[in-house]
Amino acid sequence: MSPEWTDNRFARDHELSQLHEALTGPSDVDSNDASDTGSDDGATALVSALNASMLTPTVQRYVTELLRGGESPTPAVRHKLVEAANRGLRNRRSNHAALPALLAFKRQEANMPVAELANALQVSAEEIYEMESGRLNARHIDAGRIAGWVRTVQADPAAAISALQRVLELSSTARSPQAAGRRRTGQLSDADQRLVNEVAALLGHEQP
Amino acid sequence: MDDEDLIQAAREGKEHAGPFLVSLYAPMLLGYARGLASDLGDSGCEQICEWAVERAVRRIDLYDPAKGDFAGWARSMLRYAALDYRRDNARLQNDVSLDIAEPDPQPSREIPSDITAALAEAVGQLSEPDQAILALREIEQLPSQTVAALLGISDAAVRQRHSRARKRLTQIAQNDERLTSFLTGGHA
Repeated sequence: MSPEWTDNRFARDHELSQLHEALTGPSDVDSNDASDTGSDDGATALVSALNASMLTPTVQRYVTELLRGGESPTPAVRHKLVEAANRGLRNRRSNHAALPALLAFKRQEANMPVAELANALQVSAEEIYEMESGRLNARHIDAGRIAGWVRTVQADPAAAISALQRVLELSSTARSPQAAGRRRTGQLSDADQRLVNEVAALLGHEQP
Repeated sequence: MDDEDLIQAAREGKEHAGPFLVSLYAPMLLGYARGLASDLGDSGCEQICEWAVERAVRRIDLYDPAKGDFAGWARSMLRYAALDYRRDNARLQNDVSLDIAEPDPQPSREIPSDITAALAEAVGQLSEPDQAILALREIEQLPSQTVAALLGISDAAVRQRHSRARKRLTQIAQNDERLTSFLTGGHA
């Protein structure tokens, strides 16, 4: 964050260069008038509501350019930041995944061993593996157990309901031959919809 | 790959988006962290950058290009991360029981949309240097010493410009009924 570096950058942009000069020029500097800003409650209330969209595009660009450089991360820090980004991406994928992938992701995120989850749900570890791998059909698990599973791994109820709908839709056998190969419409059979509603009710999540 | 493609790839959870985002924005975030929270030291700054990157990717659906560029949005994620870090540290150091409510260091007040619009009009009447100093000190929340180092002027000059910009904004606001009502707490 050195001023020499920023000045070089502004030299390539006339508007930003002019703004920088106006902001830093000696004519406006009076070091005897560096008054404290903390006592003006009215101004404090106003500035706390400021956001970048209120600024002119030139000012937005100026701030971005001024803060762009920073410092290059060391390889170790870069590695940690990439890992952090990847955690964010995995989280996003899990939120758009079918239920088995979501539950597996949330268990791993909570650092919960399979045995601990199996114990909490009173099922075998094999059943956990079967569910997380997608080999166990979600229709063969009752609503209470699905809701308990969601709560135990602390998955977001809304994400879990969406994920349950997705897995039921993906494994639907009720689709007509005419629908084969077409884009899925989100229609569930009555039995599947009942299961979704029951799980939603148990999780206290109103279905739209 | 431009920013728009990259943000779309991150929204879709595509793996290649992570390293690209870090390459583009990590230097800015690290430098910003050191300016915003130099008291946290190297490890603290790196930690809040990690949290900011993860949070920015997780919540990328909330990013709205109409409200500013992605870099500015990523910096706002870092400010939240810095607050979280300070809260966590304060809890550890003070051994505060978790069931005791902790005052928010920056109490948030819901700003009605008409007030936001009136404030935007008021800001629009400020000169660009005034807007810039308010952006650096109030929106980016950078300490005056950091802004001084960035601009290459004295700390006193930064505080003077900042003070003047706030006064000008207040003067403009006093001519707007919506803002005066808001300031006196009379806004419904």
